[in-house]
Amino acid sequence: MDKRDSFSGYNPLFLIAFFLFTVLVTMIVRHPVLGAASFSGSLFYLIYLKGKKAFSLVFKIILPVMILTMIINPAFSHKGVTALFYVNNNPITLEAILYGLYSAFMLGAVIMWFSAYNEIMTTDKFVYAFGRLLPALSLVFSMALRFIPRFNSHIRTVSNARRSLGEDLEKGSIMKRIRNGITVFSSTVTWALENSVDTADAMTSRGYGTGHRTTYATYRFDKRDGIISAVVLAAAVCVVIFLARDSLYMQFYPSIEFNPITAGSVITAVLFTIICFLPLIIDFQENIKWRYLTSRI
Amino acid sequence: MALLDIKDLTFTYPGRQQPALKSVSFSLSEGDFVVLCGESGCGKSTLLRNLKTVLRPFGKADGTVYYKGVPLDDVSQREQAEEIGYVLQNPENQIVTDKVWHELAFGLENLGVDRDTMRLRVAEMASFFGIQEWFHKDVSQLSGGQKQMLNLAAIMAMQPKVLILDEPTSQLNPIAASDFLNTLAKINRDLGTTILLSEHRMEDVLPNATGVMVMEKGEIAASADPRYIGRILYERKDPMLLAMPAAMQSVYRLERNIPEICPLTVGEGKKWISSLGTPAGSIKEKENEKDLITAIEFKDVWFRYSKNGEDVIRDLNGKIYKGEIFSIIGSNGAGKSTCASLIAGINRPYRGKIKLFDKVGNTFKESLMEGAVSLLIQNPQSFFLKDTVREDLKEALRDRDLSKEEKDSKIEEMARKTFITELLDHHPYDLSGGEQQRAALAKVLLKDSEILVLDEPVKGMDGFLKQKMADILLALKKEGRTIILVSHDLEFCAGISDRCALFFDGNIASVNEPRSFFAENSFYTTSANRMTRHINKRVVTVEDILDLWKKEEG
Amino acid sequence: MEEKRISKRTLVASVFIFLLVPVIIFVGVVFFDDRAYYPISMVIAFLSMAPFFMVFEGRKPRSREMVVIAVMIAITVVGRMAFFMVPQFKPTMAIVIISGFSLGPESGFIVGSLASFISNLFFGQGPWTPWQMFAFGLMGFLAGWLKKLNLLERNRIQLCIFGALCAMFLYGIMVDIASVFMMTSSNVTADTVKATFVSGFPLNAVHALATIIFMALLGIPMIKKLERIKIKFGLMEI
Repeated sequence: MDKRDSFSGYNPLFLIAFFLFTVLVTMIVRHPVLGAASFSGSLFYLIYLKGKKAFSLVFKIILPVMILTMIINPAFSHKGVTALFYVNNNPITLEAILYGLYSAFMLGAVIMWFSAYNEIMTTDKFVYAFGRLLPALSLVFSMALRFIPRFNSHIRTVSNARRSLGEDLEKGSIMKRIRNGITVFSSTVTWALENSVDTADAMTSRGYGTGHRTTYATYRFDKRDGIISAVVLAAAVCVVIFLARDSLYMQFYPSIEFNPITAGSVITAVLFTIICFLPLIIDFQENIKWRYLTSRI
Repeated sequence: MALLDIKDLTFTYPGRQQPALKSVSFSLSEGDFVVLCGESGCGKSTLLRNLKTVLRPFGKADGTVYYKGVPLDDVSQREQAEEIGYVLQNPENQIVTDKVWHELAFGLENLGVDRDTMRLRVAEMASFFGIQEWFHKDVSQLSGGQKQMLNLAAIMAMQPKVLILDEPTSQLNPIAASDFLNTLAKINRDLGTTILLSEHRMEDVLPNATGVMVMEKGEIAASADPRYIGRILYERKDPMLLAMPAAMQSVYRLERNIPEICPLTVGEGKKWISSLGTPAGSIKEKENEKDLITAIEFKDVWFRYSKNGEDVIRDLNGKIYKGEIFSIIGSNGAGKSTCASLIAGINRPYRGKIKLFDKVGNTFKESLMEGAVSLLIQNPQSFFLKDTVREDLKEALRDRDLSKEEKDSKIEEMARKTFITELLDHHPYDLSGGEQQRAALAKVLLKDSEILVLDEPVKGMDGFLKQKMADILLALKKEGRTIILVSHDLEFCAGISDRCALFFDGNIASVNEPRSFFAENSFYTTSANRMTRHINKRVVTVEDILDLWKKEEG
Repeated sequence: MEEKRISKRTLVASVFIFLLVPVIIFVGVVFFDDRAYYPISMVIAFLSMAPFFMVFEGRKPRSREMVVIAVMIAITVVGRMAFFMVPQFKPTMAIVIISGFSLGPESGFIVGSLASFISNLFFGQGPWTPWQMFAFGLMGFLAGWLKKLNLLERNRIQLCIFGALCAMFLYGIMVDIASVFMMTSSNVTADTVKATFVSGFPLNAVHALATIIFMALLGIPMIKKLERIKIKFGLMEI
């Protein structure tokens, strides 16, 4: 199946707003249904985006953090009424364990949202999104990104130059290697700073700082972006309103309690789930469309 | 009215007695394409930088630069930024942002151009320069030639009236350079943009230029139409004649059958050569040396950079003899530099071996070449680690068992050999490109290796600096060292080498002594050869042309 | 004497950082109930960066200044990539401190915060990003600030001590607190905080050691390089 991501094709401003909303709601709300929606939505989207690499991220980083969270909470928090057993005279409570479990999933979801966004928010989207608000800073950002691959390749060049003079960086004691590494690094710093004179000249020569600055837009906020933004905004407003009325809230301490299920809470849960799965829904819809188009060609 | 009018411009750097520019006067009219040439350090860059206030170096300037009749100091920064475009030497350093599209738009953003206009201008320039395919790429993915083309396009997007370029092709390979210069000609021809360019590659640029200025020690020594500059230089007995295209050089150095209109291109040169009749002289052939000792031997060498990558060196075989200068030429990506790194032991073949003096060698298992071979890689700046050249040279001797005095005298001696004695206490980055190259060479030579590999040692150098480098290399050869040159500069290789090899597709496609080597090639050969090959294929340099025809009438 | 005076901008930014942030934290804790420490702290970290960024925008930096800042950011990121062998053993902090020391508090903040944002683009963005950005930014800011007050001099030992303190306390504590918030949310207690500090100590110690070593080896030479370039650029008074 075609694995192209279509969601990332939406306007970066929408993507950022969408991301902030999902992450903040995930962090603030406390309800297993919402948590599960956010967790599964982010997990599946991450897998869709990164394929096999997603699993190594999940198992190497996210799972350990989650396990740690599950342990830390009951170990240090002794709130809650249902003591299951005692360690060093401290009660380990059911509530704290469940709270730990919930926090773990919440944190896992947040990290996965961040990872998914790191994947789709390419650097020029940041430049687009912040170019007007923070023009100088986003230019510095873009310049730094320009320098990084250049400096890295210069480090390799210097290492080769050293090696051609018989100074092998991979030989010798650790201290010698660090010293050698620092020599290479330090020479790269000199080179980088000295050559930056030309870069500054090229900037001034092309009129940087001569007056009001505009930004080139590689992205346009088009009808498609407007429609999706309106839809998501409406859904988000509903979610926030119903959440504010506490129609979907779980209490852990002192004892576990749920608010009664109401029409509002069902709507909230459904809407939030749709929002969390929106990237995937859009991708699947687009894939189906393409399959249809190709079959007609 | 002239677009740029320079009147009596004198410029002195702080702390210097001698002015860098001495009452320079000239003017540029709309649509001109003027080439500025002269020996390195003659003041070309100083002059060009004085034509835009933000680039003017610190120092004392007298005289006035008028832009459209207004003194440059009274022209607003904005107008200067917009109308006077400037391309610098190093393609890498001028790129400000990380994306191609952003770089193209950068100047327009600075001028506050609105989005729609910007879109149009960027689109136009991207099409004119053929940038569409890499429009969304990261700048770091481009080749050197593409980067310089991007710099030019980014400036052209601002629609400048004058384009000033300071040795823009010095860091490019010949094909990219020729592309770049052709594009410049196209800009001048199709858009009418006025161009002032300092350049060494006269062969590529003169046929399209409307004027040439020759600078000498801060003064404009000669200024004329490209067709007449040769005559002026000839009458002045100016050594700059040696920097001119082979056809022009031959005409005025042979001093025979001087035509009304001086030939500039290979084709024109060919016609003129034909008019000379049958040659009476003969060219000097080198004697074949006997008892050659093999210094390096490649045996079925294969190499690639990563397990799943493409083979860069495939089935390389060959021998390099002790005491010879061996040149490796070939197009980009043929594996020349990789071959150099294999000889130096930086990389190791995954199959086959490289033998060194029949004993030690470089196989995939072990590298025994360290110390026996030194490599001067392309970027001389990567050799500098310290704050002065002297410190850096000391660093090269760090591990040697020598007393302080011995080290000092070794450094002095090496500095003399490489003509950097007076630069020893300078910061390496305060040196010019050619000086940096020699300082890096000095550092490499201090390792005292039997075999020297030099990757592009004359990149960006003018004829005088190349001659200096040739002198150094010939002296080293006399000491009995083996020298391997990797270069794009066919003229340089032809003049200095004992044997040349054409690298293609990861191995040596042909190898021979220069005359036979270039006689076989029809494209990969020197201009002098291309001009005369219909009469004598073994001609390699302009000197050979002189030898062939000079003696006929005494 | 003029250049030693602390500029108004610096003052405003300092007030922001030392007064406003605790106030926001207090407000956040009091007015939101127990359930939102982390999102609030994240928002605070972002908000407290805003004045620095606005100040930077407001003074319309010259191209030379921007180039030097961008170079130092890139150097910091490349430094983190180059010494990938040992976890926590990175020159990052040393370089940020050197940048702040040489380029002034505001530029120091920009270098620190952007360098940490950009290196997370390569090493993984997460809810820790705003905290790290803020902590690194603050470090660069402090280095420049103390230099202006003549409390920190161009002296290898002083710089090493400052670097170690930053690594142990400023960065260590800040990031540890952030991870407490992150993992336990409303369960923050004295015990959890203590436990996190204890468990975080070894890593912080390695970090401090790395900073000392890199500062000792790189510090003064890098400051000299920056001074040379500042003279070349005529940037002596930023």
